[in-house]
Amino acid sequence: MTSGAGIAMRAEASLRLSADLGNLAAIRQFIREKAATFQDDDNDLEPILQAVDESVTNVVVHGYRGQPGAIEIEVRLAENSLAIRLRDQAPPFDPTAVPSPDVTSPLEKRPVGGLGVYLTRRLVDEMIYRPMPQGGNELTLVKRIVKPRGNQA
Amino acid sequence: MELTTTQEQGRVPVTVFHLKGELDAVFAEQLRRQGREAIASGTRYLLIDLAEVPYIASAGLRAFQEIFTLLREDSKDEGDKDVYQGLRDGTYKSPNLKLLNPTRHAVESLSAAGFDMFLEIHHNLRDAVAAF
Repeated sequence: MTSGAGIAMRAEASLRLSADLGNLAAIRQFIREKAATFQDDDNDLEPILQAVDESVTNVVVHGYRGQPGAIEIEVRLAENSLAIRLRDQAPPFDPTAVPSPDVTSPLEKRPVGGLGVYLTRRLVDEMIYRPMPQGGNELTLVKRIVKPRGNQA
Repeated sequence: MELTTTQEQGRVPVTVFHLKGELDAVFAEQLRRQGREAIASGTRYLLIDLAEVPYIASAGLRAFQEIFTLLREDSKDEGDKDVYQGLRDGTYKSPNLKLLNPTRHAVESLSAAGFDMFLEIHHNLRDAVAAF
Protein backbone atom coordinates (compact mmCIF):
# COMPACT_ATOMS: atom_id res chain seq x y z
CA MET A 1 0.00 0.00 0.00
CA THR A 2 1.30 3.48 -0.78
CA SER A 3 0.16 6.70 0.81
CA GLY A 4 -0.41 9.93 -1.04
CA ALA A 5 3.03 11.09 0.09
CA GLY A 6 4.63 8.06 -1.58
CA ILE A 7 5.48 6.29 1.71
CA ALA A 8 5.19 2.50 1.58
CA MET A 9 2.54 1.71 4.20
CA ARG A 10 2.30 -1.51 6.15
CA ALA A 11 -0.97 -0.85 7.95
CA GLU A 12 -3.38 1.86 8.90
CA ALA A 13 -6.54 2.33 10.94
CA SER A 14 -8.69 5.34 11.71
CA LEU A 15 -11.13 6.55 14.32
CA ARG A 16 -13.54 9.50 14.22
CA LEU A 17 -14.70 11.06 17.48
CA SER A 18 -16.21 14.25 18.76
CA ALA A 19 -13.48 16.75 19.63
CA ASP A 20 -13.82 16.58 23.38
CA LEU A 21 -11.13 16.43 26.07
CA GLY A 22 -13.11 13.56 27.58
CA ASN A 23 -12.06 11.48 24.55
CA LEU A 24 -8.30 11.82 25.16
CA ALA A 25 -8.17 8.49 27.02
CA ALA A 26 -10.11 6.73 24.23
CA ILE A 27 -7.72 8.14 21.63
CA ARG A 28 -4.71 6.88 23.60
CA GLN A 29 -6.33 3.47 23.91
CA PHE A 30 -7.01 3.33 20.16
CA ILE A 31 -3.42 4.24 19.29
CA ARG A 32 -2.01 1.75 21.80
CA GLU A 33 -4.16 -1.07 20.43
CA LYS A 34 -3.35 -0.36 16.80
CA ALA A 35 0.35 0.22 17.42
CA ALA A 36 0.56 -3.06 19.33
CA THR A 37 -1.00 -4.82 16.36
CA PHE A 38 1.28 -3.12 13.87
CA GLN A 39 4.67 -3.13 15.53
CA ASP A 40 6.92 -4.67 18.15
CA ASP A 41 6.01 -3.96 21.74
CA ASP A 42 9.45 -2.70 22.65
CA ASN A 43 8.86 0.63 20.96
CA ASP A 44 8.23 3.41 23.40
CA LEU A 45 4.83 4.89 22.61
CA GLU A 46 4.68 7.52 25.34
CA PRO A 47 6.28 10.37 23.35
CA ILE A 48 3.87 10.10 20.42
CA LEU A 49 0.92 9.58 22.78
CA GLN A 50 1.83 12.80 24.57
CA ALA A 51 2.28 14.57 21.23
CA VAL A 52 -1.24 13.46 20.23
CA ASP A 53 -2.60 14.59 23.61
CA GLU A 54 -1.08 18.04 23.11
CA SER A 55 -2.32 18.33 19.53
CA VAL A 56 -5.88 17.13 20.19
CA THR A 57 -6.11 19.42 23.22
CA ASN A 58 -5.09 22.35 21.00
CA VAL A 59 -7.79 21.42 18.47
CA VAL A 60 -10.48 21.23 21.18
CA VAL A 61 -9.46 24.32 23.13
CA HIS A 62 -8.05 26.66 20.47
CA GLY A 63 -9.48 25.21 17.25
CA TYR A 64 -13.12 24.49 18.02
CA ARG A 65 -13.05 26.78 21.11
CA GLY A 66 -15.53 24.61 22.96
CA GLN A 67 -17.93 24.35 20.01
CA PRO A 68 -18.97 20.89 18.81
CA GLY A 69 -16.77 19.35 16.13
CA ALA A 70 -15.17 16.14 15.00
CA ILE A 71 -11.62 14.88 14.95
CA GLU A 72 -10.29 11.97 12.95
CA ILE A 73 -7.28 10.02 14.15
CA GLU A 74 -5.44 7.79 11.74
CA VAL A 75 -2.65 5.47 12.84
CA ARG A 76 -0.28 4.53 10.04
CA LEU A 77 2.72 2.27 10.09
CA ALA A 78 5.34 2.74 7.40
CA GLU A 79 8.61 0.87 6.91
CA ASN A 80 10.39 2.55 9.77
CA SER A 81 7.96 5.01 11.31
CA LEU A 82 4.69 5.32 13.13
CA ALA A 83 2.58 8.26 11.97
CA ILE A 84 -0.55 9.67 13.56
CA ARG A 85 -2.62 11.90 11.30
CA LEU A 86 -5.16 14.22 12.91
CA ARG A 87 -7.85 15.90 10.87
CA ASP A 88 -10.37 18.46 12.06
CA GLN A 89 -12.78 21.01 10.63
CA ALA A 90 -11.75 23.88 12.88
CA PRO A 91 -10.59 27.22 11.42
CA PRO A 92 -7.16 26.96 9.78
CA PHE A 93 -4.32 26.92 12.28
CA ASP A 94 -0.73 25.90 11.63
CA PRO A 95 0.88 24.70 14.89
CA THR A 96 4.25 24.33 13.18
CA ALA A 97 4.32 28.14 12.86
CA VAL A 98 3.87 28.77 16.60
CA PRO A 99 7.01 30.36 18.10
CA SER A 100 8.69 28.58 21.01
CA PRO A 101 7.96 30.05 24.45
CA ASP A 102 10.64 31.43 26.74
CA VAL A 103 11.16 28.51 29.11
CA THR A 104 13.79 30.34 31.15
CA SER A 105 11.60 33.11 32.58
CA PRO A 106 10.21 32.81 36.15
CA LEU A 107 7.25 30.42 36.42
CA GLU A 108 4.86 33.11 37.55
CA LYS A 109 5.70 35.35 34.59
CA ARG A 110 5.36 32.81 31.82
CA PRO A 111 2.74 33.14 29.12
CA VAL A 112 0.19 30.34 29.07
CA GLY A 113 0.32 29.48 25.35
CA GLY A 114 2.83 27.73 23.15
CA LEU A 115 4.11 25.15 25.61
CA GLY A 116 2.15 22.23 24.11
CA VAL A 117 3.43 22.86 20.60
CA TYR A 118 6.95 23.32 21.96
CA LEU A 119 6.81 19.93 23.72
CA THR A 120 5.23 18.27 20.66
CA ARG A 121 8.15 19.40 18.49
CA ARG A 122 10.55 17.75 20.92
CA LEU A 123 8.52 14.53 21.21
CA VAL A 124 8.26 13.54 17.55
CA ASP A 125 10.68 13.32 14.63
CA GLU A 126 8.39 15.12 12.19
CA MET A 127 5.40 17.42 12.51
CA ILE A 128 3.72 18.12 9.18
CA TYR A 129 0.81 20.54 8.75
CA ARG A 130 -1.37 21.17 5.76
CA PRO A 131 -4.66 23.05 5.48
CA MET A 132 -7.33 20.77 4.01
CA PRO A 133 -8.54 21.82 0.54
CA GLN A 134 -12.17 21.63 1.67
CA GLY A 135 -11.43 23.48 4.94
CA GLY A 136 -10.04 22.30 8.23
CA ASN A 137 -6.60 21.11 9.25
CA GLU A 138 -4.42 18.06 8.91
CA LEU A 139 -1.50 17.49 11.26
CA THR A 140 0.75 14.46 10.91
CA LEU A 141 3.03 13.44 13.77
CA VAL A 142 5.77 11.00 12.85
CA LYS A 143 7.94 8.95 15.18
CA ARG A 144 10.66 6.70 13.85
CA ILE A 145 10.45 3.18 15.18
CA VAL A 146 13.11 0.60 15.78
CA LYS A 147 11.98 -2.52 13.95
CA PRO A 148 8.49 -3.04 12.55
CA ARG A 149 6.92 -6.44 12.93
CA GLY A 150 6.24 -8.40 9.68
CA ASN A 151 3.48 -7.37 7.32
CA GLN A 152 0.41 -8.25 9.33
CA ALA A 153 -2.13 -5.50 9.95
CA MET B 1 -6.61 8.78 36.30
CA GLU B 2 -6.56 8.83 40.03
CA LEU B 3 -5.43 11.29 42.68
CA THR B 4 -5.13 10.16 46.30
CA THR B 5 -3.90 12.26 49.20
CA THR B 6 -1.83 11.32 52.24
CA GLN B 7 -0.34 13.39 55.03
CA GLU B 8 3.27 13.18 56.22
CA GLN B 9 4.91 14.89 59.17
CA GLY B 10 8.46 16.17 58.83
CA ARG B 11 9.76 19.47 60.15
CA VAL B 12 6.42 20.74 58.83
CA PRO B 13 3.18 18.96 57.84
CA VAL B 14 3.37 17.86 54.20
CA THR B 15 0.41 16.96 51.99
CA VAL B 16 1.27 14.32 49.39
CA PHE B 17 -0.69 14.01 46.13
CA HIS B 18 -0.21 10.56 44.58
CA LEU B 19 -1.08 10.75 40.89
CA LYS B 20 -1.82 7.78 38.67
CA GLY B 21 -2.30 8.07 34.90
CA GLU B 22 -1.25 10.32 32.03
CA LEU B 23 -1.27 13.92 33.24
CA ASP B 24 -3.34 15.23 30.31
CA ALA B 25 -5.72 18.21 30.16
CA VAL B 26 -8.50 16.36 31.98
CA PHE B 27 -6.31 15.04 34.79
CA ALA B 28 -4.59 18.45 35.01
CA GLU B 29 -7.95 20.09 35.71
CA GLN B 30 -8.56 17.63 38.55
CA LEU B 31 -5.07 18.37 39.91
CA ARG B 32 -5.69 22.13 39.78
CA ARG B 33 -9.02 21.74 41.53
CA GLN B 34 -7.68 19.50 44.29
CA GLY B 35 -4.62 21.72 44.63
CA ARG B 36 -6.80 24.80 45.13
CA GLU B 37 -8.98 22.93 47.63
CA ALA B 38 -5.99 21.67 49.61
CA ILE B 39 -4.45 25.14 49.78
CA ALA B 40 -7.80 26.65 50.80
CA SER B 41 -7.96 24.03 53.56
CA GLY B 42 -4.58 25.03 54.92
CA THR B 43 -1.95 23.05 52.99
CA ARG B 44 1.29 25.02 52.80
CA TYR B 45 3.69 22.25 51.78
CA LEU B 46 2.79 19.96 48.91
CA LEU B 47 4.66 16.99 47.49
CA ILE B 48 3.46 15.56 44.17
CA ASP B 49 4.21 11.87 43.68
CA LEU B 50 4.69 11.15 39.96
CA ALA B 51 5.81 7.51 40.13
CA GLU B 52 2.74 6.35 38.20
CA VAL B 53 2.49 9.18 35.71
CA PRO B 54 3.75 8.02 32.27
CA TYR B 55 4.09 11.60 31.03
CA ILE B 56 3.19 15.19 31.88
CA ALA B 57 1.44 17.16 29.13
CA SER B 58 1.68 20.94 28.99
CA ALA B 59 -1.69 21.20 30.78
CA GLY B 60 -0.14 19.30 33.69
CA LEU B 61 2.83 21.67 33.75
CA ARG B 62 0.42 24.61 33.86
CA ALA B 63 -1.34 22.97 36.82
CA PHE B 64 2.03 22.84 38.62
CA GLN B 65 2.53 26.50 37.71
CA GLU B 66 -0.82 27.48 39.21
CA ILE B 67 -0.25 25.49 42.42
CA PHE B 68 3.28 26.89 42.73
CA THR B 69 1.94 30.43 42.41
CA LEU B 70 -0.88 29.89 44.93
CA LEU B 71 1.54 28.43 47.46
CA ARG B 72 3.96 31.31 46.93
CA GLU B 73 1.20 33.87 47.42
CA ASP B 74 0.42 32.18 50.73
CA SER B 75 4.04 32.11 51.85
CA LYS B 76 5.04 35.06 54.02
CA ASP B 77 8.74 34.25 54.25
CA GLU B 78 9.76 34.92 50.64
CA GLY B 79 10.28 38.34 49.11
CA ASP B 80 9.70 38.67 45.37
CA LYS B 81 13.05 40.40 44.91
CA ASP B 82 14.99 37.55 46.52
CA VAL B 83 13.02 34.93 44.58
CA TYR B 84 13.61 36.57 41.21
CA GLN B 85 17.28 37.02 41.99
CA GLY B 86 17.46 33.32 42.93
CA LEU B 87 15.68 32.38 39.72
CA ARG B 88 18.12 34.42 37.67
CA ASP B 89 21.06 32.84 39.52
CA GLY B 90 19.59 29.36 39.19
CA THR B 91 19.68 28.92 42.96
CA TYR B 92 15.95 29.18 43.77
CA LYS B 93 13.87 26.08 44.53
CA SER B 94 10.30 26.29 45.77
CA PRO B 95 10.15 25.67 49.53
CA ASN B 96 6.43 24.83 49.23
CA LEU B 97 6.11 22.52 46.23
CA LYS B 98 8.32 19.53 45.44
CA LEU B 99 8.14 16.48 43.20
CA LEU B 100 8.69 12.80 43.96
CA ASN B 101 9.83 10.00 41.64
CA PRO B 102 8.95 11.36 38.20
CA THR B 103 9.15 8.79 35.39
CA ARG B 104 11.64 9.23 32.53
CA HIS B 105 9.19 10.98 30.22
CA ALA B 106 7.83 13.14 33.03
CA VAL B 107 11.38 14.33 33.71
CA GLU B 108 11.77 15.15 30.01
CA SER B 109 8.72 17.45 30.08
CA LEU B 110 9.84 19.10 33.32
CA SER B 111 13.31 19.65 31.95
CA ALA B 112 12.21 20.82 28.48
CA ALA B 113 9.93 23.44 30.06
CA GLY B 114 12.56 24.48 32.63
CA PHE B 115 10.39 23.46 35.58
CA ASP B 116 13.21 21.41 37.10
CA MET B 117 14.97 24.73 37.71
CA PHE B 118 12.37 25.71 40.33
CA LEU B 119 10.99 22.42 41.59
CA GLU B 120 13.14 20.00 43.54
CA ILE B 121 12.93 16.39 42.43
CA HIS B 122 13.31 13.68 45.08
CA HIS B 123 13.54 9.94 44.76
CA ASN B 124 12.31 8.71 48.10
CA LEU B 125 9.47 9.85 50.28
CA ARG B 126 11.42 10.25 53.52
CA ASP B 127 14.05 12.51 51.95
CA ALA B 128 11.37 14.50 50.15
CA VAL B 129 9.38 15.16 53.33
CA ALA B 130 12.56 16.05 55.23
CA ALA B 131 13.47 18.58 52.53
CA PHE B 132 10.52 20.87 53.36
